[in-house]
Parts: sequence; C-alpha cells; structure tokens
Amino acid sequence: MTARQRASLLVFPTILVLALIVIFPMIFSISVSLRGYDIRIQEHPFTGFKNFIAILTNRDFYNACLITGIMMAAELVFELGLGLLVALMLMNLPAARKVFQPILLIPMMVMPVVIGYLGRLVFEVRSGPVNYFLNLLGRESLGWHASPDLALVTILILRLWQWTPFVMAVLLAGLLSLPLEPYDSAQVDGATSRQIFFYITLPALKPVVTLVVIMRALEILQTFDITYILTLGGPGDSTMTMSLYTYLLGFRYWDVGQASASAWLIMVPLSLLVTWFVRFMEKGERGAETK
Amino acid sequence: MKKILVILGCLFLILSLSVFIGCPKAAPKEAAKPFQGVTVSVVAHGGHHATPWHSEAANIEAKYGIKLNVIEVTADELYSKEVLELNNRTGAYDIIQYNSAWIGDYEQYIQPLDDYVAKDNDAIGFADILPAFNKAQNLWGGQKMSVTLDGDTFLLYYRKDLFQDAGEKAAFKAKLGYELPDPPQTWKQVVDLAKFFTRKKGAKLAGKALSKDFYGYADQAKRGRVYYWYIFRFVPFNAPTPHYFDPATMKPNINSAGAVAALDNMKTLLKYSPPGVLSWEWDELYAGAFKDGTVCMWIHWTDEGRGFNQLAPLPIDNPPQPVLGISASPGVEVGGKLYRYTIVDSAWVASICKDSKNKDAAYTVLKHMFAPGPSNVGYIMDAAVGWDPSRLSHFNSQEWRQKVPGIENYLNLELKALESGYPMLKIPGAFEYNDVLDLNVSKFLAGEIPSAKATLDAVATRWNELNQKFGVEKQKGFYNKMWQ
Repeated sequence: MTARQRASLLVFPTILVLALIVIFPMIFSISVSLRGYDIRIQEHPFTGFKNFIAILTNRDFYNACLITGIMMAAELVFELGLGLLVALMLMNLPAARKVFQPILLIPMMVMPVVIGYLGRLVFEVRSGPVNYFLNLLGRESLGWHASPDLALVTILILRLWQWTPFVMAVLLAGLLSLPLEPYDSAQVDGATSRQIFFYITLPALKPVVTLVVIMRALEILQTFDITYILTLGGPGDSTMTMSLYTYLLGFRYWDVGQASASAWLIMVPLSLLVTWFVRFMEKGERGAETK
Repeated sequence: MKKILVILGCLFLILSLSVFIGCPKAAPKEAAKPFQGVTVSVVAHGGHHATPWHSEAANIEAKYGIKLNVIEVTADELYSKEVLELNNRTGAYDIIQYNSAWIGDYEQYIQPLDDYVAKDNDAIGFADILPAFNKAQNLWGGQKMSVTLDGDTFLLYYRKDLFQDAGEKAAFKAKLGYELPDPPQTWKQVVDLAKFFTRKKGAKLAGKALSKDFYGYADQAKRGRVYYWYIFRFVPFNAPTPHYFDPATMKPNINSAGAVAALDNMKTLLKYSPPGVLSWEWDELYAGAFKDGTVCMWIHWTDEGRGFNQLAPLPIDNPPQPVLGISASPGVEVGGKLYRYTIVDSAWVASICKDSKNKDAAYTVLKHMFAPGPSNVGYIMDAAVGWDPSRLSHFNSQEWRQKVPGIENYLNLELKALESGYPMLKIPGAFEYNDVLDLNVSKFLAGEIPSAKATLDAVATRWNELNQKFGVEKQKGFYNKMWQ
C-alpha cells in the first residue's frame, strides 16, 4: 500500500462521519426547504421556492432578523469592549489574575437554560433583587422582561454576564502571547501608553479579535435557551430571535419545509458576512505589513 | 456379612429420613397470569406525572404478568415523539399519554375503547368520569377514544376573607350601588371589584394599613399560554352559543363583537394587575397571588383549590384568617340570563395505539390504573403527582374528605363548576391556531397593536389560512366531531 493510499484509508472514517452528520443533512434540508413538508401530512410535494417566498413575505421574519441584528451588534460591541478592558487589567496584575480569572469564568460554565430561570427570579418586577436594589437607591422599579421596551435589554444583560468572560479569556490569551520586542522599542522611542495600545496592541490583536467576532456571531445567531425560558419571544414579539422563530416553525407548527427555508435564509447571508469580515481583517493586516 | 447389612440398613435409614426432612414441600401450582411475558410500553409525561405508572408496575406484573415499560418524555416533546412513531406505524407504543387537543392528528392511530367498555360492563368506569371531561377530552365523533388521566380545569380564586369584611362591603355598596358579589358572577363585576380593591401601600384595606401594594386582579399573561386567559373570556362573551368557528362554514368566530369585548376586558384588567404580569407564567401567578397574598382575584388551575389552607394572609397588621374563595369562571349576562362556562383543559388523557400488538393487555393496564378504586384515588389525592380529580369517585371520596378537613369546599365547588364545562379547540393544528391567538393577544397587551379589533382580525385572517392549509372541509368534519 502506498503512503497516499494509507493516508486515504486513515482519513476515510472521518470523511464518512462528516458526510453522515454534516453533508447529508445539509443536502436533505435543501430538499425539505423546496417541499411542503409537514410531518403530520403523508405527502410532501415539491413546491419550489414557495417556502422561501412565504418566509420573505412574512413580517415576523423581518422582525426576527431585526431583533437578532440588534442583539448581535450590541453583544459584540459590549463583549469586546468589556472583555478587552478586563483582559488588559488582568494582564497587568499577574497576582490578581490567578485569583480572579477562574472566578470570572464561572458564568460561562452555567447552562443557558439555568440562566434563563435565574433571570426570571432576579428580574421579577415585584420580588426580584434587581428592582429591590434599585428601590434602595431611590429609583422606580423597571419592567425588565415584562416590558416590551426592556425585555431585549434584560436578555442582553444576561448574555453579557455569561459570555463576556469567554471573550476576556480569549483576548487575555492573545495579549499574553504578543511578542515583547515591539513594546520595548516603542518605550525606547518614547511612545505613550495610549499610542502603544492603539498602534501596537490593537493591530497585533486583530487575528484574535477576528476569531472572537466570528465565534461570537455564530453563537449569537443560535441564541435560543435564554429567550425561550425568559420570554418565549414576548412580550408580543419584542424578543423573537431568528433561531426561536425557526424553532417555532419547525417544532411547534410542524412546517419543517418553512423552517428549513428560514434556516437557509439565515445561513447564506451570515456566511457571506463572515467571509467579508475575514477578508476585511486580512486586508488590514496586509496593509499594516506593507507600510 | 452382618456388618455390611447393618451399615446398609443405617444408610437406608439416613437416606429415608433426609428425604422426608430435607425435601421441600411441593410448590402450589401458580395460577396462570393472563398476560404472562407480555410487555406494554407506555409513553408518559415525564417527571412527577409518571410516578403512578412506575409505582404500579410491580403490581401490574404480579397480577397480570404484564411488564410495564414506562417511557418518560418532557411535555414539550410529547407531541413530536408520538407523532413520529405513530406516523411511521412502528407499533413501539402500546399506550400513549397526550393532550386530547391533538386527537385530530392522532385519531387514525388510536384504538376506540367502546368495544372494550361494552365487553366488561364499563369496568374502567366511563360513567364515573364527569360528563364535562368526557365531552371535552374523551369523546370524539361519538366514540370513546381515551380515558382522562388528569382532570385539569380552571377556577376563579378570590380573597373571601376580604370579601367578608363588613367595612369593605359597605364601602363597595356605597361606591358602586350594589352588594359586593361573593363570589363575583360576571366579568363586569370582576372589573368593578378589581378597581375597588387595587390600593397602594399605606392605604387602608379591611380597616388596616397595607404593608405592600395590593392588586385587584392578575392573569397569567406571559407569551406562550396567555391565550387560555383570553379564552376564559371569549367563551362567555360569545354566549349564548359560543363557538370558535361557524360549524357550517368554518368561518372563524374569533373576531366577533363578543370576542372584541372579551379582549378589551382583558386589557382593562391589566390596569389593576401587578406590574410585571406580562412575564407571569404558572410559578409567578401562584407565588404572587397565593403565596404573597397581594392579589384579590385570579383564575388558575386546581392547585390553589387543593392547597386552600396555604393561602398567605392579607398584607396588613393582624390580618383575618386567610380564606380562599373558589368559584366557576365569571360569565356574562345576555338578555337577563347569566352564562358561565368552566373551561376544561384538553390535557391529559391516555389511549391505546391501533398499532399496538398487545391491545388487550394495554386495556388491562388502563383498567388497572384508572378504574374507580382506592389505588386511583390515592394518586389523585397526592398533590405531588399532579393528577387532578376527574371522576365522581374522586370528588365524592370520603377518604379524601376525612384526610384533609376543609377539602370538601374545593371538591363541591369544582363539581358544581364542571356542570357547565366547555372544551378547548380540538382540531388538527390546534396548537398553531392557539399560538397565533396567543402571539396576537400578547402583542395587544404589550401595546404593539393598538386595538382589540385589529388584533383579532389578524388572528381571523391567519385562522382562515390555516383552514386552507389543512383543508376547510376536513377541518369542518373535525370541528363537528369535537361536539359529538
């Protein structure tokens, strides 16, 4: 057996598994999205793009896109900002890092379903501790997840609490792996801390930031547990995310055809967005190298 | 030679004795169990709801030889798991627990029980099940399709200790011009009472200062199940002949004048409800109204009625002994006549699957679990199990009344309320019809849709689309079966 044949044989099980659990379901879901596929009805006729048109002409889909877009923008900005701030603090306090880093990572270990239930207790309007402390500070109680204006904010607060530690941990790892020579040179040249941060640290962190943004964006798109437990998309549809919308279509209304179409309508633009973002970051890096 | 004979004789003696001493008595012949070696698989709502199945498995095997295989599934996944198995006709399940609202999707896979009931002279006790539950849950197109497992229904709860206060009664009459109704009979009275009793911390209630804000009324208004609290109003507001659809044409009735008035009533009562009620699910309503004692009236399942003696006192100094008032849901007066309806939840029932290879054994299991008797009543009496009373033998149980003094009030009142039972929607796609209603009611209550009429017009439009999807004539057939 040649080395090439041996290599092919060794890789074959992985390809088989990938084909079974990734490629086949993807192809099947495309087929389902082009059919009238309700699991309670025996016939699944080919309907072409009818499911896609039904989704694209449904106001609820655009509302879900808007809610998810707002969540993504807000979470990425705040998680990156807070995560970087804490990472920088821990980087400059090595003794404190050993104590605080494990503690700060705890929220990441908590199941999202549990966080959803915790949120119901903590933000309960009349008996929750958040409003209790607001009242102690002389402020009026807020409606939180019972208010159509604040329900999304409540979900964002819970998710920031859960995922900022992850961003912090990845950025800290990136910061600690940066080479020291540019910093030494900068200090010799008399650069200020601000200049060092904006002209050395941030550009060097770009690959790490790219990775964090992509990972977080994909995870935010899958936001389901906290929303399902805390609000089920309500009050009204003020917190209906795309994943919850797709779930309701497929697993409550049993219109698997439309659910598949919805999933594809989410995935294609997201893939394009991620590709564009990676190229944008790479272009920035190449630009910095040629200077 | 003599020695040999003596030794042989001794050996013979020893052997003979050992035969008589050591030999065990012959075991009496065991009566053949009717279903020896048969396994019956039951799909049950997971958690505490499955407790009776597990508890009775050993008894069932000892008595009938049936090995009970209990498959627990969470409530959210029951439908999907059952539909997939039933559609594929795997025969994996012999008995299924399900929400009778799904009967439209299930009927072709369910074994009617009429022949079994006739053969053994109704040993399972269909006649013992209250007509309200048979009508709302078990009967379908005139056939007995299931047996009630959990008698879920809804009752109005109120602070009877407050209603009995002489000062409050006098003040109510002075302000509104009629006697304080105990219990409230109509939704108009509920609004009057809610407005009257909503007071801020520090104001007087029953003659003493309130230590917390007190609210007149609360719904379980969280998105997901708020449609129930709308249906409690929709039905009486469409009296005297309430219907979800026109039975002749399947035209939705959900945006009738009565339906709009019902939704306006719901929004009006929000003004007298605790803040945050739009996020209240079961736990929050139970805790806020029953355990915190700061809500005057609310509609809920039977848990409060069963736990009547755990009602929190009013939030005042030296409050009176807490007394829980229980009544049927409020109604509406039409032409001088009062119409009240008690909505009977379509969950939970148990049926035999048509594809079961052990139908007779499955029926035997059902009979063992649900026929009138101390075993069945025992599980109903245990609040932790979550099976609510549904039979005359439950409501009239002397054992229950002796064990829990005071429970007779709840039992008698619920029995009375169920004389006017009304079913929930039971056609294919019932969940979608209800969820469309739920989403739009939630939007209206949250202020996203400005008018009740516009809200219900949107629901009616979507209900028409669903009728088209499932087939108008088919849905008409199912809808008519619902009432037979």
